[in-house]
Amino acid sequence: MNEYGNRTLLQCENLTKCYGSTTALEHVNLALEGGRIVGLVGPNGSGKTTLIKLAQHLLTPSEGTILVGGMAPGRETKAIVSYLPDRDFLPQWMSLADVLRFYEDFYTDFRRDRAEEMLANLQIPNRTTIKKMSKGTREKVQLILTMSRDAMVYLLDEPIAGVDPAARDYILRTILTNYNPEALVLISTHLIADVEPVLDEVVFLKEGQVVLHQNADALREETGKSVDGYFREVFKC
Amino acid sequence: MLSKLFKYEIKAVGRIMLPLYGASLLSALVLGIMAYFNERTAGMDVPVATLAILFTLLHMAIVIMTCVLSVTRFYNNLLGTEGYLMFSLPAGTPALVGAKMLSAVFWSFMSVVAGLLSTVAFALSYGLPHLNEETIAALSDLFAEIMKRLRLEHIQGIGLAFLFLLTAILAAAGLLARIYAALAIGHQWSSHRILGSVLAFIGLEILENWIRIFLSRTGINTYSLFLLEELDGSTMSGMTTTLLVTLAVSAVVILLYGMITSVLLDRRLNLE
Repeated sequence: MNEYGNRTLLQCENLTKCYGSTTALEHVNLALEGGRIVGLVGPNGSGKTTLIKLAQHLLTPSEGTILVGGMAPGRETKAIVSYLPDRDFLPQWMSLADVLRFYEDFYTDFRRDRAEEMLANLQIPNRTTIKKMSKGTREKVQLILTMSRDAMVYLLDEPIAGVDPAARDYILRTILTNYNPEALVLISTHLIADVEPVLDEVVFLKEGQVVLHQNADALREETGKSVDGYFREVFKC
Repeated sequence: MLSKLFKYEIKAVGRIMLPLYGASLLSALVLGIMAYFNERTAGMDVPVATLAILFTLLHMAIVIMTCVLSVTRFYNNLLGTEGYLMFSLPAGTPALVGAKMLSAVFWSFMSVVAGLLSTVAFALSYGLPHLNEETIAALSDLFAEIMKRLRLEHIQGIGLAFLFLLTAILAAAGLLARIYAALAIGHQWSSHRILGSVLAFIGLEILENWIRIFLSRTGINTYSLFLLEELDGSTMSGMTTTLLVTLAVSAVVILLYGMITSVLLDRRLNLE
């Protein structure tokens, strides 16, 4: 057993989150271990983003607890979690060089050489500002920054939504070739077919509740369907 | 961590303020030179007037941008989409809030300095060509007199002026701290957060006044700066006491609002 692998890195107990009268997550119990790539799948509004935001302390639970690396989300967990939000989050005025310096300054586990190597493939000049980048390039840059950390937990919220199929391949390749193999990678998505090949486990969320948490291979074997096929069956409208 | 956050705040605001300061200084220099030549050459009234308007507008822009950026940097960088980056940093919420406050105070001070410098730049560019033996002698006499008074009589007054400046800065920071607290309270609303912030600001203003009135009834006057006639403001020691009381009150106000903001953003953050 390595430092993080096979150790529970994300644990939810009776986790509930309400926005006013709307319940986004309801009594979620979940334990995810290191060394796994886990797909957090479910239709829009099923609570995927809420769960990730709770893990990153961007939201606070209405009830229950969530632990990351055995700690309540906060300053300490943020040092070991690499988070990719589902939207543009980098300051528009910053240049690529500014962003690299920013990550290097704040994250001790940031590997600048790794980021620069990947960015070189995109051929973006260092002086280009985030504002001037295309949406696809921005998303790739954000992913590269996230994956260039030697984190214990990677929380990737919809990393392939809104980009073309070629870019999706690039993003998945980037995740696979750069993540710390002892870490937990949690990928939230509703585009299951694209991420299915890389998943070790899947968690199905439906109306804020975990309806399935299983090994991806075992699921395919049991149901005789791909994860995507089974998802379509479970969430059939 | 606070120093790193402060560094990035300075950079983020500096990219807007420094060009404004530069433009203000340049316009002051050119205005001074043109005003000097206008006394000797006919037909330069319109360019000089235009430049004077530009100079005034730049100063207004500096004041407005200093105020606007002090608030928008907090709102956009912490409560907007950039909040996803900032609240993912391994930094405590008090450090995130503190960096915004320190930066706002720093740039307010810098804006005052820039205003003074551009006035000096105008005076120099207009006045230097006028220099002759007579004016140089008069200036050196004036300078000597100032230095003499500084040494002998008014050193306490200079100290008081600095204390007054510090009090004014902290009073402004207190207002800003209330705005930040109001934004943090408004952020608790699921919608119409700006409206919530405005109402929270008004509510905090009323609450603050109630507390001050209550304290004044118990003999603690927290309005001392504005009620000088009630205190012995005629003497140096009276003025110093008045300013120190105001300074202490502002520090407490900043601390309280800072705590409200930090606690709300730490325990009840809702980046949606």
